[in-house]
Amino acid sequence: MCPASLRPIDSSEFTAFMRAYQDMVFSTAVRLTANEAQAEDIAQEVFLRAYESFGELRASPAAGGWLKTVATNLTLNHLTRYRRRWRFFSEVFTGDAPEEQLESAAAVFDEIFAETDAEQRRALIEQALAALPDHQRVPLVLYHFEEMSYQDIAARLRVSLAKVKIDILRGRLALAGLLAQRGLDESLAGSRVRP
Amino acid sequence: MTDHDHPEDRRVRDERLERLLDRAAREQPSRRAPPTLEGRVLREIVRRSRSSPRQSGFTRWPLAVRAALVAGCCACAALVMLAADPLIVRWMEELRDAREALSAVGALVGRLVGAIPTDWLLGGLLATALLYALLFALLAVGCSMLGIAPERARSTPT
Repeated sequence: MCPASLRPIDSSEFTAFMRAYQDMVFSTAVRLTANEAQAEDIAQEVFLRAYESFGELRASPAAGGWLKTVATNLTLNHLTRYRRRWRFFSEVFTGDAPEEQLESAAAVFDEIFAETDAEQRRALIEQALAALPDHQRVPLVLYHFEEMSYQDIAARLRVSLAKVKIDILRGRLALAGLLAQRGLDESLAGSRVRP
Repeated sequence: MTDHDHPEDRRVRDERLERLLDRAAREQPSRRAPPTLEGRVLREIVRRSRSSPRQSGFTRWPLAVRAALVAGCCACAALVMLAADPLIVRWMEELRDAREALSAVGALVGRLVGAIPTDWLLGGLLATALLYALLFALLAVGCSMLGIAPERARSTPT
């Protein structure tokens, strides 16, 4: 029997493969870039590379992990030009956040979980993530969504470990602030959030 | 940190905020990919498959073609080396003659320098250094008298 890696590529098979993973790939790119057009370009490149390696990927249980890794790497390469800005901001704004900010940020998330349904929560979080500045959003997404360690993030972004931790903490606080503001806006408007 | 911040309390609050974010991230479903993505990828695959190997990079050429090209280049290089062997031999002889001529000149210069007393040599070097220093001093005085200031480096980082 012909090994999977040597069989000719069937377009319907690759299309099914793409449909199974395109949401995951697109999500990875759009959460990091906060730009749907750029994320679509990156997702296209990811699947073109997957097509070139489809002989090995088609039967591999690690195909999802491979796609996620390639999507993350391509997106970070695309965002490389922001690296100096990250370092600059992290050097200028140093120091710990006040404890009351941490407490109020946690309270915002508690409220989000308690008073919104899943659909509302999804939309609020996606909107708030997209509104974060790049130097906070990228390490935050890498840590909480891509489940990378602080050390891996620091190595990948070529910044110090301390800067990664500061940026992630400030990103959490900023995200909470944006969620609180959006929640307030929604309650003033008297409407429910639609995805 | 304020006076009221206790490291342990702060750590607990940090961890609580982290857990809440983790929970939010775990529950967040994937974003829906745009419907145009699939078509874009498939069209690009078709376009690349129709482009000729000459239009794509060397790494995309068939393996047999790449191997044949590399072997052909190596064979051509070997032929050129063989054909040029007499020429190479002559060039090496000329290089050797040139090296001998340079050595002779160097030996002559060495004898001339050796004939000069050491005090004279050191005195000459010192006089040259002093003249250069005087030249730069005169230049500096002249610039300051004429009000010409040197360019200053930017003090603010970019």
